[in-house]
Amino acid sequence: MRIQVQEDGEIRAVDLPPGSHLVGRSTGATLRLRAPTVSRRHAVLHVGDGTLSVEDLGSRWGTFVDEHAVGADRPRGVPPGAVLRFAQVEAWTGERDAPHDPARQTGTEDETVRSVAWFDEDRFTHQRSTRMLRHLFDLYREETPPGSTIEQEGCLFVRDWIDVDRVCARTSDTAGEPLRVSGWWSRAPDDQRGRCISRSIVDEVLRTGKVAVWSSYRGNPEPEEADSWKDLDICSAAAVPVHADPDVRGVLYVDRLGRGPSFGEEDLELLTTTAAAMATKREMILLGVERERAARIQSRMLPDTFPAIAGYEHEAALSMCRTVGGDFYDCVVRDDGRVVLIVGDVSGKGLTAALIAAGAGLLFRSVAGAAGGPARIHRMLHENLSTKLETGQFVAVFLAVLDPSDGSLCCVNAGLPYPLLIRSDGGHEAVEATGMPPALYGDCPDATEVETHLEPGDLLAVFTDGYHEATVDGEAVLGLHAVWDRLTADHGRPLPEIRERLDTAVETFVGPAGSSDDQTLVLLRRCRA
Amino acid sequence: MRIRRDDRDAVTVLHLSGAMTGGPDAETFEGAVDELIDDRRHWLVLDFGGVSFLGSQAIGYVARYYARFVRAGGQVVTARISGRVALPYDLFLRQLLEAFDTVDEAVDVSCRRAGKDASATEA
Repeated sequence: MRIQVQEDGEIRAVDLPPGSHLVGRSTGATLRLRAPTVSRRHAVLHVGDGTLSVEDLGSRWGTFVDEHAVGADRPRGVPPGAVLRFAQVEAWTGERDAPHDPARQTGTEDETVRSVAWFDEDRFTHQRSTRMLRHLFDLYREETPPGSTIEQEGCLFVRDWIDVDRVCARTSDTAGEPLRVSGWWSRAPDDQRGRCISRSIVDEVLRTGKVAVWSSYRGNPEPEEADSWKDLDICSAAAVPVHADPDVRGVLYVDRLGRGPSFGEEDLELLTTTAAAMATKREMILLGVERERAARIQSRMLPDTFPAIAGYEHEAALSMCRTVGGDFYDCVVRDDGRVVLIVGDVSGKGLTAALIAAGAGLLFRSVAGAAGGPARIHRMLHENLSTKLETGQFVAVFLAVLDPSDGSLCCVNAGLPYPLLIRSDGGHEAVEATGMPPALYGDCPDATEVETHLEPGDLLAVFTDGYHEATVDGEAVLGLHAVWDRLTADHGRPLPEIRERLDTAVETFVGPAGSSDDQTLVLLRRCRA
Repeated sequence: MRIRRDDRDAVTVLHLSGAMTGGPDAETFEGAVDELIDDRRHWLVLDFGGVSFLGSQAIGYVARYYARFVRAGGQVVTARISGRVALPYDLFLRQLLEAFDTVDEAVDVSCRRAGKDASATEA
């Protein structure tokens, strides 16, 4: 069956044998069209014995038979003399020169027909967009397959959604480094062109940081002779920058070889979006690597073991809900034998809190060795931190100075949930809040010191709010009394066992969802004589 | 978090409800406090009766905007501290913000203080 197509002012005839024939911009299409508004896989023509029907493949701008929209998966018969339209490209059967359609030629279209057409176009556009978004979201969200890279996955995404012959990602991880091919796809993998792409267009994108699209079809100026454009038989190419703010860290490049349409606005938008997703995912991957490093450093900054204190035993553990966290603890033994203890919890979570925790821990080390009680250390922490932290950030701390020789204990609690002093007979008392967390408020009053004694068998338990605020769904919380009850019930057990049983209680309470906050527990017990 | 403003004579009550966390909640709170400063409302009662959770970042911005409000000549008290708000209030805010059991009590006390303040200013 002879089909005539009018495109760019030219009419060409194609003879289609019986069977199904793909219409679209794809190089594999039997009826290949060049217009950018025509989809890669636009429609299928079913040629029978003297009959013709057309089926739309979910094209963006639709397929029409005498201006009646053709639905996806619903072939429509094409009667003799009818005019087919693929987006804005018209086609018809038979030998006549052009379809006779005065209404369209004068621009006075039938509004009813037009509204039906636009309704269907919207629906098809929506379907395609939904599929594409889902695919893009997967690219962004899911882990890159083993052996692949995010850039390679980006190239395959482009291959799936734009009619291209070749896709190439050339990127570098560091500004100023030469670009390397980090992703590649070619319709003809064994093509003798290899991975040579247009140097001119890549250079232009790197120089301007903007999208570049060249096409012989659009009548762009011929590239310079030095360029590989002609040698490679590229008919159109486009490239977009891959940003890693503020730098351009690479290029995502596509081209079409031989003959074919230029890349349209839709193609460029998709390329730009893909490049942005690739760059963001790459940043996430690099950030993840940095976070792992930060976690290792933070872990090393915590004391492996507390210094041995004659006549005392101790246990300390920190469990982070994320890779890094804002809890910390430390212990310093002064020259006079007194032991200075800190347990801290920075407001907020994540890398910011971890950085503050590291700074606060170092600050504690620098001031804890000097003489003075916990109120003095609290004051120094506040004066230093309040000038350095952003407004609203603070560090809740419990500070204690212990004289191991007689068990005298001087404490300041500035924001930690009431630590518990459990006597050897099971009686217990909480250390009330006696000061404001350093940096919470500029005019922070001096903290009040609480003095007590650790008698043989007495246990001091200090913990952060990750324990009592442990929650299942944001509503039900474990609660302070549950933590106290667990600690009190277990106070005679070995310290590691006390910690394990408390952790188990929390894990049982929160279930598989896990904790949503860091948990730190420090136990200090005076040994029985 | 949601905030409902209730002006009673010289005193403004901000009824807070929901979970107070960081991020957008801070902006909501900031907007409400700035509005009071712009309106020259100097006596403020923060009603925590509807607050289901008070996170550490929320404590940070409450303290921050308390400081801003006081610098602008304002006075702040709180009401209906209970449930999950009680512990963070006691640990972090008790030294800054006086607490009353009911909103009416907080308003009455604030009104009396506002009256004395006005008398002192006139004298």
